[in-house]
Order: sequence, then structure tokens, then C-alpha cells
Amino acid sequence: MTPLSSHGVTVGLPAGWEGEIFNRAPEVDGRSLSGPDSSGEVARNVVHLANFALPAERGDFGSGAVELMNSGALLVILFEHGPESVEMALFARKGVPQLDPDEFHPQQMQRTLSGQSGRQIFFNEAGRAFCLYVVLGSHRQRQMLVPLVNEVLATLDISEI
Amino acid sequence: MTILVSALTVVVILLTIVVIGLLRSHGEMLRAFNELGVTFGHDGEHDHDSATAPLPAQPRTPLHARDRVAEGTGDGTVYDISGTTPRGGAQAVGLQNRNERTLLAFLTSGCATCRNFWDAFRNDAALPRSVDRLVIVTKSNDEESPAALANLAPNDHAVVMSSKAWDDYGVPVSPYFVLIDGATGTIDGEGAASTWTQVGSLLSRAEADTEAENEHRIDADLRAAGITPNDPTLYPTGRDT
Repeated sequence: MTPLSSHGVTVGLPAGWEGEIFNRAPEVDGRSLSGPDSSGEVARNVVHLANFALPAERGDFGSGAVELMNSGALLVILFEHGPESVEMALFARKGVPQLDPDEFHPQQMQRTLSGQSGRQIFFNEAGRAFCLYVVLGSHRQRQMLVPLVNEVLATLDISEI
Repeated sequence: MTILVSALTVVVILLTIVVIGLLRSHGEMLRAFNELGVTFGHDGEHDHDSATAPLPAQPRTPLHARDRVAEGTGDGTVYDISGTTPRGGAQAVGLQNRNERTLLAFLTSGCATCRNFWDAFRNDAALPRSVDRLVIVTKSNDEESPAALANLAPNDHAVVMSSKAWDDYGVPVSPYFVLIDGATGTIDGEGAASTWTQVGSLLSRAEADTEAENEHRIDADLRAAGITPNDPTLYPTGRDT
């Protein structure tokens, strides 16, 4: 397992997997802001994990990466919401979830791509609120692919920051 | 007139001494750079050890095969890389079990020769034909300045700060390049170069060497099986003449 740790998130990646943990700060004129921007947008912690080469430039929910996925590809995204979200019903699920292949559906993609499917789950852990978004390169192969995602999720450790 | 000729003679002698001194100094500098593994032009090529990949042991193909300058001390194993990023996050790059050829560029923020590469990568230098992606690896933030790297880092290539990766791949000097074939899990070549153009030509040459080696190996296998040139079994549908 290759360790990856930052911003209170630690994960172990199987051989050949890669990922990035980063803080997406709002920007004005290409400069990152330490506080909220004029629309109230604040910095978000984002985790991208994949078993294929992630492009250097990609969106928080995988735009730029999902287009590169072949049938065996997997993309796991954790997107942290603000602390005010922890008490919301949407994030009531406690702890990092394990996924059921039958809960994946092409219509759960942020943007529908032929053959792919996705799954989105909201949860809280260590007083932090997250959206977990997983994309499978092939919906047909979900029975084989989802256990690989669950292996990675089982190594995920989220701590208070 | 005599005074003028004498004065000119003295000037010529002095200039000759200065030129000889400059040439000697230049030679000493080049020799020192060579000892450090930093190379210029076509003199900067070195050969390699025969370290092997993690799966079946295979000889490592030299990125270039001339005079030895700097030799990596890695064991030939392909390691995934994990470290921090100049912007304060963490990043891991998978290199094993991948159907890609990745070029690792080991750079520092301080070395003058590395500046050529930072500039080239920021200006969208095209990747060589045989390379699918480029990953820049620097030392960790206890040996590097994240702020300096953030200014140098290109937007469209990953930059990972990992001293462990330098140790894993036995990087002897910077800039240093390691070409990894993810499909076979082997290191296809490695070495030092002073410009991006030179890296491209070295990779092209390494690729040509590999193709020539493959052709030679296939010929040897066929001969061992009793199949010689012009053997009828090579032309099952009849040979065009």
C-alpha cells in the first residue's frame, strides 16, 4: 500500500493506484484566497483517488478525468463540505461507507458518459461532512470493480482538523 | 615604429596568455561538472547498470550509451511515488501495473540546469513520442522550498515532493530522468541531460536501440529453432519476388 495523507485524511493505495489530497481555495484573478470569496465560497478539501493516470488539471468532481476512463478504470472522490453541514440530515450517515455494486447507476453520474456509472453518498466522520462520489469505467463490470473500491475505502482514515 | 611593433607584440602575448587561461579554466569546469554528473551537449551521456524490474529480471535499457557520467544506484524496481505537493497537499503517482510509459524528471528548484526544464515544462514542451506522461519529482519539503517550487511548477504536469523517491530510484544527480514502462513494470532507461531537446533525442535513440535488440533476439530465437533467412515457413502464402 502506498500511503497518502494530508488535511486530516489518510488512505492506503494499492499498487498502481494514485491520488491527490488538496485544498481548493476560491480564486480571484488566478490568486487563491485564504477566506471566502464575494459569493461566500470557501476553501474545500478534496481527495481524488484512481487506478489510472489522473490528469494534472481536473475538476473537483472529476471533469477532465472521467473522460479518460477505460472499462477497468475507477475514480474515487471525497469532497468535504463545511462544518455547518455536519448536523444536516443529508450528512446523517456516520462513518466511511462501503459500497454495494447494485446501487451504482449511470444516472448517478455528474455528467452521463456512455458505459460508465456512479454512486454518490454523503456521510460524516470526525466532525467533518463529506460527499463520496465514485465513478466506474464500466457499469457492466460493477460486480468486479466495486470490491476494489471498497478495499481502498477500508483504508480511509479521517481525523479531526 | 619599433616601439609600436614591440607594444603590439606584448599585447598579443598577453592576450594569448589570457586565452590559454580561459580555456584551461573552462576545461576544469567541464571536468568538474562531469564528475558531478551534470552534462552539456552530446558529451553528457552515460551508461547504466543492469538493474532489473520487479517481475522477471530484464536488463535495463540505457537511455544513452556513451561515456559514463552519472550512474543511478537504484535496484531497478519500479516504485509508486508518494509525497507532498508544492501547494500543501499530498500526491501519489501510480507507476506499477499501468499501461503507460511515464517519464520521471528529478529536478530541484536551485540547480541552474534544472531551470531549463522548469521553463520548458511551463511552456508546454511537447512530450517525446514514446512517453505518455511526465511526472516531476523533487525532494521533500525539508530539503526543498515549496514556495519556490510553486512558482516553478507547470500546471499540466504533476509535481511530487518525495526524497524517498530519489532514494528508491537511486538518483545520483539533478536533473535526472527515469523512463518507466508500466505495462512491463520495468525501467526502460535513465540518465542525465541538460536540455529537454537532448532528453527527446536520447529517448528516441533508446527506443531505436530497443527495437534493434528485439530484432536481434527474434533472429536468434528463429535460428535456434532451425529457421533461417528465406525459410519457406516464413512465407506461408508464398514469397513475393
